[in-house]
Amino acid sequence: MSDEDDEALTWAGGRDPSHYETPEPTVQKPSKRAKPDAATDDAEADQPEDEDIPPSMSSVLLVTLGIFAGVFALYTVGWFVSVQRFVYFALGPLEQFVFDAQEWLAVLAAPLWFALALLLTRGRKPAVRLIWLLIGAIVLIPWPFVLGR
Amino acid sequence: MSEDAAVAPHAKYGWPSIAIAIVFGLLYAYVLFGALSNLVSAPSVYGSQTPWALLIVDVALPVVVFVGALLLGLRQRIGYRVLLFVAGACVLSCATVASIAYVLTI
Repeated sequence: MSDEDDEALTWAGGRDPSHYETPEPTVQKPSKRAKPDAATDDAEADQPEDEDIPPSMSSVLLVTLGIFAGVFALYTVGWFVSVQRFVYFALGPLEQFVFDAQEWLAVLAAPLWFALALLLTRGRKPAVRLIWLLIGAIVLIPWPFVLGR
Repeated sequence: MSEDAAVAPHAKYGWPSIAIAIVFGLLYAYVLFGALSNLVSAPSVYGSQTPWALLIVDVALPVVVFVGALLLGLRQRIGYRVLLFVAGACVLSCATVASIAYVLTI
């Protein structure tokens, strides 16, 4: 009892032979590498989080991509709402079918552009990726929604 | 997918890709035809309020988008070529629906 009290009130670093000032080395990584076949998936899944974050993917770029994702999501909603309340009677059945198809293609435009802009610019400069997203954000503005239609 | 893998690294423009380009070219041509007929008929309907800029943009857009999708797809595998043409059709659809929405506000 008295020993525990003493330990609580004094710094043991000077006397304890097992105490080291340096931080303990992490032992997780060697253990992972020791069995590469069994834990390949785990190792691959963990690596990007631990150490292999590419330097090009800065936090600013991530935030900008997130903003663009939000913009494109809003565009999708805007087109969807417009298409839902848009009433248009074409001259003939073919024209009507084409217009109906075009309405749904317009809803699909924003998510498809976003996905393709990111997929096809993999490995390119961040500026190039953002420029493609910016072009999409300009081209795909849901004008019927803006115009109140 | 095997076809994709064969085409992917060398960006060959084989018969499947040419056929896809022709099919989407016909679809785009349909949109172009509609825009041209609007360009011809709209002035008699809207008179001095004819939205000339919009009509001209609608005529130019199918050609510009087709060339853009074709060029962007040159270095891609065939699946991405199709997706690029579909995305182009989506952009044209946005322009068409927006044009009609605008014209209805005149």
